[in-house]
This record gives sequence, structure tokens and C-alpha cells, in this order.
Amino acid sequence: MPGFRLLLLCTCMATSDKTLPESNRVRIVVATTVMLTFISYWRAAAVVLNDLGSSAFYAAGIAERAIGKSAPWFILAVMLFSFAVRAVYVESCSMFVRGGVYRVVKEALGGTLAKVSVSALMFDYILTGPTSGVSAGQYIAGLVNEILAAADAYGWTPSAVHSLFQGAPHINQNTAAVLLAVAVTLYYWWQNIKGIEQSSEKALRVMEITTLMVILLLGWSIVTLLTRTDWHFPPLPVASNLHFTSESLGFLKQHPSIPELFGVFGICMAFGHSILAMSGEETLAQVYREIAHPKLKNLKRTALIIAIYSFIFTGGASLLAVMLIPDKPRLEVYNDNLIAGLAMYMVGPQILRLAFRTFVVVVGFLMLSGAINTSIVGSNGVLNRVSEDGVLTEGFRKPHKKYGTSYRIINLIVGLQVITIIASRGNVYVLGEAYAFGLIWSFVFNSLSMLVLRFKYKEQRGWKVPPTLTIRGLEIPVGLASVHLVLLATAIANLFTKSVATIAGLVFTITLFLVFTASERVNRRRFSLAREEMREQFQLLKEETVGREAIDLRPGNVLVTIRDYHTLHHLRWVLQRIDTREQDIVVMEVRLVGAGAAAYDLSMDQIFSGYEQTLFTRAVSIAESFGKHISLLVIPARDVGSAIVQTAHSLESSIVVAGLSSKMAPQEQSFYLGRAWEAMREPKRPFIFQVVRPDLSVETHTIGPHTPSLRPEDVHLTHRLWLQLTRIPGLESLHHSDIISLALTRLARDYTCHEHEVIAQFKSGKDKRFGLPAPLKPDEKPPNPTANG
Amino acid sequence: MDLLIKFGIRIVETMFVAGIIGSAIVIVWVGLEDLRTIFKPGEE
Repeated sequence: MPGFRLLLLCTCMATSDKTLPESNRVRIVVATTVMLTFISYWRAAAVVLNDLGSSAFYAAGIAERAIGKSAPWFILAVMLFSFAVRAVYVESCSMFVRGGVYRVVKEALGGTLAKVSVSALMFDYILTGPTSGVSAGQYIAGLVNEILAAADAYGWTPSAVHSLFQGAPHINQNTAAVLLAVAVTLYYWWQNIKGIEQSSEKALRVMEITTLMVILLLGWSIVTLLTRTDWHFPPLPVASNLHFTSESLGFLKQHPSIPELFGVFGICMAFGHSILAMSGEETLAQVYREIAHPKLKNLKRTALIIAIYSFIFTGGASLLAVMLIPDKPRLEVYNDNLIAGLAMYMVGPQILRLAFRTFVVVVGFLMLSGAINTSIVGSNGVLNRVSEDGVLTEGFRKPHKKYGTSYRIINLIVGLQVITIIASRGNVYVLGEAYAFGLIWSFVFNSLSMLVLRFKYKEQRGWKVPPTLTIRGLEIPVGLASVHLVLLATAIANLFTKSVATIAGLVFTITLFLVFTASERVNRRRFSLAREEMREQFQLLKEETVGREAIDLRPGNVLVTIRDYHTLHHLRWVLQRIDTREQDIVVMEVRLVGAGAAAYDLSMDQIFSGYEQTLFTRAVSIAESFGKHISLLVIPARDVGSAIVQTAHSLESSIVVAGLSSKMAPQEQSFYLGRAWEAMREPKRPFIFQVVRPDLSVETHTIGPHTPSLRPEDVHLTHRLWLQLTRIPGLESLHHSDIISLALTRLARDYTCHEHEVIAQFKSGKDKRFGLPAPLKPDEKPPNPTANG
Repeated sequence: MDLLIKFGIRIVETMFVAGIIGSAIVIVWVGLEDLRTIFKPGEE
């Protein structure tokens, strides 16, 4: 049988110029489900809030500059409305587990509008990074200036420096913000090139610190409100209280009376200028796939947590800022770092306020820099998905030689973001206003698509946005239509009132759309040729999830992971040693997909690209040279470690073999896999993990619980103890394992009662004997095992 | 032209007001539904 398989492999490689019968092509099992590790709704909420909450640091300042002092009411209204928008996302996720704007719009309105919506979404993503980065820079530069001013006021500044600055020394806030934003963006560029994934653990930690800050902020603000009497509520959100600047009137500046003349339209305009407070909703759709069971219920819990948190944080902070900070400093000094300004206007000593402001800046930096990373990861995911669909040349998706990431797309995104940061010259207002364009239009497309899908697909969904009226059998989605109407009206108002955003957004969206459309046409022919060629060589077997039976493997097989076709020495090493008549070899490539890509449906052609074709062609030719059969497998995954351990478990592999990682030492690779194994649910089985270096030296580790390799002196000690103990009447039937068992029980007890002592003993074990007594002499009496509790 | 602008603005206003009223119902409805269902133990 193996010989027969080999013959087939040789044949297919030799006759690639001719289409082979299906049975003669190399079978590759392609898993279409991305391997994910599931997270709780708290973690999901933390991931979304890291993105959504970051807007609290700049949205209120931008809105107030555009519409005047009643801006906080509009921010609060937007935060309330965002709960309704979230309901639309919940419905879309209940229909498509892999939701997201592209998937939903493509299903409802077709490929062309899907490309338009993705172009708008890309504009949103590209601008999120610069807006967050520049805002973080403003917070830090503002703090530095505040500290310098305080130092100068106390006479701590050298007189030469004081006279050089003609007063308190200071830095240019905008220039500093640009430099810092560029530096942080470049840092995350490198992290993304290396392929370090976003972690829900980190997001949770950031949110814990942020929650502490929010509690302090609200608590201290309440004390301040109770102590001071000079505070006031912002003016009510009525048309007469709205003060639009010529900048915020946009194309309507020729008709400055319009907002007041029409009243409601003015409110709609003001709502539009505050809409950026709910950026980050798309992250909810992306994170849905990773939410643990029961998915829909947990998604709703996530949505509710986000709604309450963002209402209190974003809405509350903007309201308190207007109530506590006097108009002049709020507009002139703290407009770009409003929460920092709020910290400075609390009651209490200056040093305490300055310390709290520093804390606010640290939290702001953590959240805003996290949002930069999210923007890079998100846009990379979306562009990868679009590229996989054949609308961008495959060159864009070419993996990085060392790290395996789609570095060209990352370079393009970060390049655009750096240009945007420099062009903004540190002006958060311009960036925020422009950013809202992509945001609102991606919401409009999403809600419109969901509306269309209510009529297009009438079958039962997991959940529907209420209320829905049924008149003579016709279902009228009142709730969904209402949300869409608000979004559409706001988007139209924005189109006329945000001239910079409209021009920049339209230019960007149209350009990107044209690039997508043109390259799709150019690629179509090339893709069809490549696909044809691939069909001649490989038979792709689509499997939702991978099982041993699907690949026709015996238990105890060897799983070989491959990525770079230049480094397949470990596959050669395996083929040299394994007799495939006795043990099967399965070669697996883990196809890394970004956070965004995981949200979308993956077809086989998307997973098995030209790169995989080259990679597997090389793997097959190596197997041919040894005359042995190998099975081939492609797994899309977010995390390589999880994918390997889950696949090894599914395939009942006894050994996993990998080449030396370019990022980690073999011990680290093993530790990384071990952690992924520990995170996997029971039942699970341990396996041997071998790392083969290029010089073919091998390091072997066991993943999962295993019998430890005892050193000779430990074996000797156990034996001595056994000899002594079995001399005692009644203990003749004692086994060596009983001694180990008792020793471990005692260690566990000691660890529970005296944790620090045990740890210290392990750490200080110079001779690695951890202070154990020397082996017993033959005539020595053993210690009493039950004594010394 | 002015008449056209005014007509356009009136349409946007109507859409906005109708949408806001409907969205308020959505928020209250979903909020109550969530409070009744999502924190109850058990599978979906």
C-alpha cells in the first residue's frame, strides 16, 4: 500500500503538464475552521473596551471644539445609541459566526458594495492608529509641560534654562505628539512583523488598571463636586446652545444659520460630530468567534458590559470635564488631553493631583497604544482577507521569510499611518473628524445589509433586533430600520459638515476601491491559471475540522510542522528514521490568520494559496526522494502553538517534529507548546516534541504530564530508603513507588503550608539536591515519615 | 436650489427623528430583555 501511494506521488509530480484523474493527485486536507482558543465574556469585553474605551481620551475634546459646551450630552447620547448599534452586531453575529462588515455586506449587497464598505472600514482602521497615537503623545507632552511648569514655579529650573525659554521651560506639544506617535507605531509595526498576537490576558490587565483609574476619577470628582460650588452642568442639547465653528460647518459654512434654522438638523450635525465616541464596535464582531459557549448569551453579556462601561467612562468623563474644568483652560490647554485636565481640577494638594494625572497618562498611553496595535492587526486582517479573495495580488500576502507574517501588507498599513501622523502635525481634532467618516459609513453599510438580509434570508436566526412588526405575514424590522435611519441621517449630515473627512475619506475610499477593482481584474486570469495548475497537482479535501479518519492515519503517527520551504531539514530527518509501513507521517502547515481574517469565512482557495503550493510541492518531492508516503494538511489558526497541540490531539500523534524556530530556542518552543497544551480542554494526551536543528542535532521534550527522568543519585536514594523501610515488620510489601508517592505528598503539603520556604529551597538548591540529606547508610535508621508535620 | 437644500434637510431630519424614537425603543426593549435572560444560569 505505501508503495502504491508512492507511485501515485511520483506520477503526479512527473506529469504536471497534464490534468490527472482525481485519484492520482496529491491529497491535501485543508481545514476551513480557524483553530481558536475560546475566551470568557469578561475577556471579550476587555478586548473590545481596549479599542472602544480609548476614544474616551479624545472624543469629548474633539466634539466640544466642533459643537460647543453642550458636547457631553451628545457624547452620552452616542454612548446610549451605541447600545442599539451593538444590537445590530449581535444579530449579524447570530447569523454569521464569522461576521464583520465585509462578510455581511458581501452576502447582502454583493462584491462591489462589499469592496466599498471595506474601503471605508480601511479608512477607519488606518486613521484609528494615528488618532490614538497622537492623542497619547498629547497626553504625555501635556504632562511633561505641567511638570516643567510646576518645577519652574518652585524655582527648581536653572536660571539659564528659564531665560532661554523666557519663562517656564516647555516642549512643543504637537511636535512631541507626532514623534511619540511615530515611535509607538513603529514599535507595533515591528511587533506585527514578528507576529506577536494580541492577547486577551493583556487586554484584561489593561482594563483592570483602567477600571481603577475610572473609580478614582469618578470618586474624586464626586468629592470635588460636593466640596466646590463653582461647577455647573453643560448647557442643554438644544439647537440654540450649539455653537458650530466654520470648521465644523464644513461645506455649510456659506449658510451658518442652517443648524439653528432647522433645529433638528443642527442636533443631527452635533450627533455626527460626537459619533467617533463609539469607535471600536467592529472589534465586537471580530472577537465573537473566540467567545466561549454559550456564544450568543456570552456575546450579549459582552455587549452589555461594554455598554455600561463605555457609558460611565466615556460619557461620565466628558460630562465631568465640562463641569469641573473652567472654560478657558479646558479649551486652550486641555482640549486634547481632557481627562488629564480633569485630574488637575480635583480638590486636594497639587502633588496628589499631579500624581493622579501621571496615572491617567500611563493608563491613557496603555489604552491608546493598544488601539494602535488593534488598528494594525485589524487592517492587516481585512487586507489579507481581501487579498485572499483575489482582489490584491498574491505578492501582498507573501509571508515574511523569518516570521511568516504578511509583512508587505503590514508595511503598507504602517507606511500610510506614519504619513498620516506626520501630515496631521499633531492635530487630534483633524484626525478625529476624518476618522469618523470611515466609522459611520461602515456602520451604515452593516446596518443596511442586515436590513436587506431580513428580507433576503427569512429563516430563523439566533436573535433579531426588536421590535419586529408582522402585518399580513410581512415582517417589518422596525428596530433595525430605526438604527439604520439614525446612522444614515448622521452619515449624510457628516458628509456636508465634515469637509476634511469627506474629501479625505472619499479620495481614500475611491482610490482603494479602484485599486481593488483594477487588481481584481488583472488577477482574475492569473488566479484562474494558478488554480488550474493547482488542481492538476493537488486534490484539496475540505474538512470543517481535522480528524484522524479524514486523513486516513493510524494512531501514534508523527506530525511534522513546516512553514518555510527553504528549511525542511527536519522533514528529511524524520523521513530518514521513520518506517512509514509502521508509522504514518503527516506534514502540516499552520496558516497564520490575523484577528480580522478569523472573523471571515475562509474558503479552500484562500487557505491553500500559491505559497502553500510551493511549500507542499517541495515537501512531496523530499518524500519522493526517500520513497516514502506523507499525508498533507493545512490548518488556519490564530496561534501556532494551539493549532499544533490541538491537531496532535485530534490526529492521535505520538511525536511532533519541528525545525528550529527563528524566534525561540528549542526549550522556549517546548515551553510555548506546553502552555498551549495546558490551556487545552480535557481529555488530552501527552506527546513527544522534537526540535531538529539545521545540523540535525535533536532536542527532545515531553509535552504534558510524564514520568520524570530521575538522576542516578535520586534512584539510589529511593532504593536505599526502600531497603531500610522494608526491614521494618509490616512494611515488607512496600514498593519504590510508595516512597516517591509519600515524598511528593509531603512536598505538596509543605508547599501548601510553607509556600515561600519551599520556593526558596528550590531556588537556593546549589547542588540541585535542594538540601536533602545525604543517602542513608545501610545500617542507618530511616526518618519517621509521619513526623515533622 | 435653496428649496432643494431645504427639502433634503427636512428628509434627513425626519429620518433622524424617526430613527431616534425607534432606537430608544430598541435600547429599552433590548435592555429589559437582557436583564431578564442573559444572567439566568443555563445554556442558550
